[in-house]
This record gives sequence, structure tokens and C-alpha cells, in this order.
Amino acid sequence: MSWAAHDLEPYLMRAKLGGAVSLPFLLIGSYSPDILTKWAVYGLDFSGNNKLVDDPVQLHRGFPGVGFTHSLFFGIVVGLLILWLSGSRMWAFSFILGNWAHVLSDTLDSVGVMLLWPLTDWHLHFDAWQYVGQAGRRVDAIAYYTSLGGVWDILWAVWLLWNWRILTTDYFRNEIYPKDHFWHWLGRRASETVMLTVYRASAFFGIASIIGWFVWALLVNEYQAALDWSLGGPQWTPRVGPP
Amino acid sequence: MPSASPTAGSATPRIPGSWSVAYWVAAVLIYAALGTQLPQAVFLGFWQSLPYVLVFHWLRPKVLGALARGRGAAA
Ligand SMILES: [Zn+2]
Repeated sequence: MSWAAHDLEPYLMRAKLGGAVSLPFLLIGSYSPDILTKWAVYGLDFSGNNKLVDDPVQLHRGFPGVGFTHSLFFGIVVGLLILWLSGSRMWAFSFILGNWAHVLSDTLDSVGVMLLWPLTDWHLHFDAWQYVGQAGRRVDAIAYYTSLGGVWDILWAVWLLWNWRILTTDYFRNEIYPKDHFWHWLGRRASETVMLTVYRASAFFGIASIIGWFVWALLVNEYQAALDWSLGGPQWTPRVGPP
Repeated sequence: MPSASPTAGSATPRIPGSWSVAYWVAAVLIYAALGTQLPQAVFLGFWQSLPYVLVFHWLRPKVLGALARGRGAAA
């Protein structure tokens, strides 16, 4: 799985595709595969000692399970639902793009995704880093941020910081607000401060959490793993493949 | 002291863009530092950052405005 990459990818897609896409719906799409299920995969607490299911990998990425949320088909179905409910092609298209970015990012770990479900439950996985979700959130955080997963997050953060102007108030007022009815809807109910908070929160969280997780994984937690940027790392975790 | 002139107190000083950048860098670092101590309280998902980001937005004109007025007074 990827961590802050899912928070940051939508901003870069908005920067590249401009007014053809909606940042809020890119973000909802990007969060959609995991938002309802991650608590069950990890268990209820940070330590991972409160397991809820016997086979978190099967639940998260398999079928039976909720692995279908990580398929191209799922994005299209929910996108069509959004089109039907809202009438907005831009919102539907943005949801699909955000969802697909998440799905494709998750192919980089050792479990991967059922990309073509329901045609097949075959998993596409590139094994750049280990899937460690079954060990709970705490161990997964250490493993992810000391492996190439952490590098993947840094790449998105650097790309976003390179494009930092898209986070300015002027950019929001002149480029974001006028081109997406979502902001007009929100603007009738909330102040510009609230709109800017909604606009920037995921970028703020993504960058702050990358910095904080790196420090925590390398210096603060009791295990204190070292960086392991080998393919398929870190090597101290158990090897986990598709269910 | 109640003698500060109303014009000096009410004038809105211009806040340089570089101050805003520095402010947000500091805000990100504060949140990151909080996460290194209590990751489960602030790093589980972006929704945990919403109240913090809202407060940082609310504080920005107050903090930078006070700094700009302080610089104006010193000049
Ligand atoms: Zn995922």
C-alpha cells in the first residue's frame, strides 16, 4: 500500500489537467479504496494487537473480501453513480482518475491489486516494497517509511513542493474556485477560510506526515529500523504475496 | 497604555509573501513534530489534520499581522 502518496497525487493531477478535473472528487476517489476498510485490515488500535480478521490480506486485496475496491471496474461503477446522482461529468471523471491513481500506486507493493476484477482475480504487483498491512499500522508505518515506499511518498511531496504555487490563496481564488461548482456549493455554506482549509488539508497532511513518519520510524519508535531501499524491502518483514 | 493612536492600531500592514511561506513551513513542522510523539492522534488520516489546518488558517493573519505591525513600529 501507499501512504501519503494517496493524499498528494490528486493535487498534481489537478495541476496537470487544470479545469477539466475537480480536486475534491480526485481526493474522494483517491481515498475511496481504503477509507471504509483500513480499520478492519489493521485492527482497531495503532499497535496491531487487536486483530479483527484472520486474514487481513485476503480482506483488503482479495475476493471474497473488499479487494474489488482496488480495481479499475470499481472506479467506473462509482464514477457512473456520481454522474447519475450529480449530473457532473467532471466530478465523475475526477473520482475515476483519483481511484485509478490509488489502484495503480498499490500495484507497487508485494500483494498488488485485482486490476481487472471481476474478469479475473489475478493480482498485478511490482514488488517494489513489501505489503505489511497484516502486521498492524505501527509495524506497517516502520516498514513502509524505511522501504522504497517512503521514497515513493517523497517523490510526490517534492513534485508538489515544486508546484507550490497551486496551494496559494491567489491560485485558489483565480483557478480553483471559478472552475468547480463544488466550491460554489461550499462557499454558500462556509467562509473562505473553511474552503482554503478543505482545499489544502490533504496536501498539508501529506507533507507533514511524511516528515513526521520518517523521523518516527528512524529515531523515535522502540524498534528503530534502518533505511532499506532494496527492491522488495524492507528485508526484515515476512514475505507476503497475493491472497 | 491606552494612548496608542487609532490609526496606528487599525492600519492593516502588508504581509510579505515570503512570511506566509515561512508560516506554513513552521505549521507543517509543528504538526510533523506532534506526529512523532503521538502518531495515532494526528497521522492516521488527513481528517485528523482538518481542525489543525483550520486553526493555522485562522491564526495566520493574526500572527503575521502582529509581526508586520511590530516591524512597522520598529522602523
Ligand atoms: Zn489501497
